[in-house]
Amino acid sequence: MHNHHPSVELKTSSSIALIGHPNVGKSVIFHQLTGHYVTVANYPGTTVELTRGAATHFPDTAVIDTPGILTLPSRTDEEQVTAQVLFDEPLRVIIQVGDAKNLRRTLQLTLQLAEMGIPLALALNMMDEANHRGVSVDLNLLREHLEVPVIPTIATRGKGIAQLIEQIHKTQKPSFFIQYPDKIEHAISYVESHLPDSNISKRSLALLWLGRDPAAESWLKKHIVSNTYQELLNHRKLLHETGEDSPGTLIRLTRMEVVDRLVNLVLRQTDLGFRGTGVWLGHLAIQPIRGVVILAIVLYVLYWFVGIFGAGILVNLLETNLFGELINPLVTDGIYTIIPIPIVADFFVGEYGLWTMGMTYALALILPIVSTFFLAFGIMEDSGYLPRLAVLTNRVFRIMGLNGKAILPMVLGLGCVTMATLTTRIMENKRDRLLVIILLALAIPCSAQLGIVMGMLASVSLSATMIWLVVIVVVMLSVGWLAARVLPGERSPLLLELPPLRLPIMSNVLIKTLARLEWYLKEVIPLFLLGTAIMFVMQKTGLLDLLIQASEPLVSGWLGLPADASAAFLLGFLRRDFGATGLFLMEAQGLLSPVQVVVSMVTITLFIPCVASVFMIGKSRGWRTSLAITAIVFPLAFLVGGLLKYLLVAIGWGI
Amino acid sequence: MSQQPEADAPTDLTIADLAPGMEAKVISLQAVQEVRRERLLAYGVAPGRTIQVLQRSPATILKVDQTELAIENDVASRITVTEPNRMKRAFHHGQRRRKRRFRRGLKFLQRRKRNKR
Ligand SMILES: Nc1nc2c(ncn2[C@@H]2O[C@H](COP(=O)(O)OP(=O)(O)OP(=O)(O)O)[C@@H](O)[C@H]2O)c(=O)[nH]1
Ligand SMILES: [Mg+2]
Repeated sequence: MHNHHPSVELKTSSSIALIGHPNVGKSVIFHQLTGHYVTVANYPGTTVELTRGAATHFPDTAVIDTPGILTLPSRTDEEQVTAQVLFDEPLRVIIQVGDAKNLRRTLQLTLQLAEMGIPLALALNMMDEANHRGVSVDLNLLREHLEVPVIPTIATRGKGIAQLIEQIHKTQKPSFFIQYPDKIEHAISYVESHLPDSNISKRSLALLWLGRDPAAESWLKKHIVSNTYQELLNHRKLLHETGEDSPGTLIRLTRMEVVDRLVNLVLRQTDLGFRGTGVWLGHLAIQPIRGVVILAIVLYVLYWFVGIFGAGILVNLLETNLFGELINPLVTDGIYTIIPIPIVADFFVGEYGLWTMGMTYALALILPIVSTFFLAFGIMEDSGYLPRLAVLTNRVFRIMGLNGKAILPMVLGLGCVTMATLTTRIMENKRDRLLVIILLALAIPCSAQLGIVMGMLASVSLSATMIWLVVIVVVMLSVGWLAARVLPGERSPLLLELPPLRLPIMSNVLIKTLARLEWYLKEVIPLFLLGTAIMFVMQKTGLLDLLIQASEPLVSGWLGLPADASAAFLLGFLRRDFGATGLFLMEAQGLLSPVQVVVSMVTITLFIPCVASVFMIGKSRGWRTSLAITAIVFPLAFLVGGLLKYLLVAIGWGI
Repeated sequence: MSQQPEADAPTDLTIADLAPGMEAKVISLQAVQEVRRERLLAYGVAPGRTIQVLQRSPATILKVDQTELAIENDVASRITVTEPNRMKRAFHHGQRRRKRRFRRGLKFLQRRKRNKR
């Protein structure tokens, strides 16, 4: 979800990059080194963009938080973002953040980074978890062999950070050297002789090139003449064709051997059978039947907290009691006495008044809903439940030609589709990314809308909620199924790391919730005010009545809703949650029957995505895609809504 | 106690043939598609390394070092392993199933060999 960026571009002469595997605590350490908060959550792939912050302890130096890399040479989009940093940034130091309990994996990357010839420090994080699992590392021996400072840390408790800062001053270019098989060494020296100088050593650039790293490729393309580039390409191709193993594999195998020897020296693993409550619950959550029961409980708690507590009790308190009876009458009277011209006063406090509609919607309706949602969501993110949900839902996503990993951007989409579109970077290929984006645009309501939907449906009955859920899921499955068949390419099977379940740290959840709320209000209030102003003008010019009349056959005839609902759908063009809010108020005034509530909620959920996300899709996937998605989604929403109405009436539901 | 299998002796077993609780050494990932193979290797599912199967459904859950990985059965059935060396649970629970899987695994391997030709 939206990161909290320091908006100014930092102009510094040198920088420190935090690099490491996914989900090892890079963003926590970033926060401690800079004071800037970036989203921290317990699943791999939280950070998908670079974030810069001024280092508190080093003058004129930026710290860069990067997306986690599983493999280098990079393979996925987010890994490429990180690889790019190695080429583009004037790096003074690399801090590798590593997971102490998975030493082997960590060292694999350490060796690679050490080859780059940039001063390196290794922060061995998660020491607490390593200790619990009986993993102990002989740090002195490790330092001796690597000739790199190794600092044990527990980032979430701030342990070891001071030592880390101290060691950053002392880092030197690592001298660790790996001898590769002759075939590779020959290739390295051949490639090296063609390379210009770059930020990283020629040897490591050559190794990345041989491993077909896309960032290295594009850097080289820009920095050497095309003839040389072609020569290098031919050389590499030839290398691939001779011998069983590709150069990339040979390189990796050599490194693995070195790591194995090192690990055998420094690692002690005692007490193999670590079983805490977290482990037990973590396994329970992915079992076929018990896992689904747990999921149902989680969903119900979410529904209760957001739908009934947030959208019901809190909204009622704020909207009816605080705003309806106290603030708004006061403000209205005040404005009418200050501004005696009715039409101007109406602009602020009339039916479509900036205050009585725009601000009241934003503060009394949306705010309590998104607050409860972001809070619940933050807890869920930090617990490590989301990757387990991916396992549980894998079969469902299979129908849509995807794997369970797609649940991550989809769930994030509940917070903000715009940011979720960025998170699709964690999907393995272009096809998967596009599929997820289509589903995001179609069926994923954002949190405010979801809260309103849940609140409205909850006030009808639980069965109304179930009908809504089933319809949305069926639509999503069918569209996904179709899209997967139309789009070229193959489905990639699930391959996902399950981080340990962790007890959410309340301070992190709170900071995250506040940061998200601030961002949300900043984005929502201007749009709500704009929407209100447009409605005001349309009403005063009579355009609104015309539009309502024009859409009468569709809204009243086809969907069977009161004519006034057209206004809500008009608002929905700006933001779906804005439209939902309009419907919410209609229901509160008793203008909607149960069938009408369900039908309108289904339609507004499937309604076109908000303006911001249409832009985002346009930027990342091209405008044609963006328009095509919009053009399909809009009629589909009304089609499904209308059909549902006929079905519900036919079976006599809700009467 | 089960007999210690000869280290890395070629078998036709894959991870998909292992029942929950079993441990085995990885022999080869050659049959896995390259992108995925690289990622598995990065996680530590590499030849010679010991993996434990924690669960088989709805996906295969593996443990390597302190990492838990969820992989689809399709991928699991492409990773060959040695005879498993922790059979206790298998004898209690899944002996027959294991045999069936074993046979299925054999068939799968034969089919693949045929396809390769
Ligand atoms: N127990 C424990 N948990 C930690 C420690 N450091 C970080 N965490 C938790 O690990 C999870 C991941 O932390 P992040 O900082 O988001 O990790 P990251 O490396 O930025 O992850 P990506 O952005 O996904 O690559 C969070 O739930 C943290 O609370 C630590 O030292 N001990
Ligand atoms: Mg991060």
